[in-house]
Amino acid sequence: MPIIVNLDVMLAKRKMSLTELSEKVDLTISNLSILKTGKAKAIRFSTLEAICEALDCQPGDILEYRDQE
Amino acid sequence: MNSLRDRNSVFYSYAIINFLWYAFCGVAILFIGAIFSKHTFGLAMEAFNIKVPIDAGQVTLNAAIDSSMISIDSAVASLGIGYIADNHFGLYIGIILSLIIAIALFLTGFFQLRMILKSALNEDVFSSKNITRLKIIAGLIIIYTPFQWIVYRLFVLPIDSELIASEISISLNFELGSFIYGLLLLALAAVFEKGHDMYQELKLTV
Repeated sequence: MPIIVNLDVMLAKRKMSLTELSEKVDLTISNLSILKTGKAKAIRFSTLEAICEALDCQPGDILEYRDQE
Repeated sequence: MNSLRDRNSVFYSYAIINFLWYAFCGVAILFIGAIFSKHTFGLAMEAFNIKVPIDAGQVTLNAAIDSSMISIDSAVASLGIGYIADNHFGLYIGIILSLIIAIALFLTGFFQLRMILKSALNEDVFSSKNITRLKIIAGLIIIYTPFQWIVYRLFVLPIDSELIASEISISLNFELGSFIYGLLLLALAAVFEKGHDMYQELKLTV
């Protein structure tokens, strides 16, 4: 999929662990792992909003479009 | 463990199907046991009868009945399996083997139904396994009538040519009905396939 999830990059920048983020955004670690590893098929606006709030960033910092060609 | 209030129709359906599953298994074991005991201990199997069609010309009506008012198109006689075993042992073996295969197929289908309800109870109904299970049940329902027809042709018709009418017909409604039930289940399997895809998508939505 050409949509890349840069959640791990943002977590590293904010020096935050996945467990901490899961507590802040009230999501399970397994769901966040699905998002982090790029296995997710869709993301809810509410989830995106919560992650952006917790990491103090923009949706564009987490999601990136990269042409496969 | 769910409380009684939380138990829904799936729970009760599963409980009934589970009970029936063990009951049918018991009956199947008893049936095979009865065949075994007949040949081992010489016990009679009077409970088992085979329905055979007889020629309408061989039927004689009671003298008190005005036969001019009645037309007989077909008649069916009940033939004890002991008679078949004594006179047509080859056919008897065929009938018994067919019955065992039929019981095995029935139990296979019933087991699939039981597992579908079990998965529904565990809230994992839209799984790829259930799609396969539905297809198996549909296939079994579709082959039921041809199987019955083949068994009838192979093992029941040749029992006694004098006893049996020359013309045999199987009810078209029944044949078509069973075929349509099979197709309906295949359609349900297709719905389950779509449900499975949607469930997978839902599971991967964060």
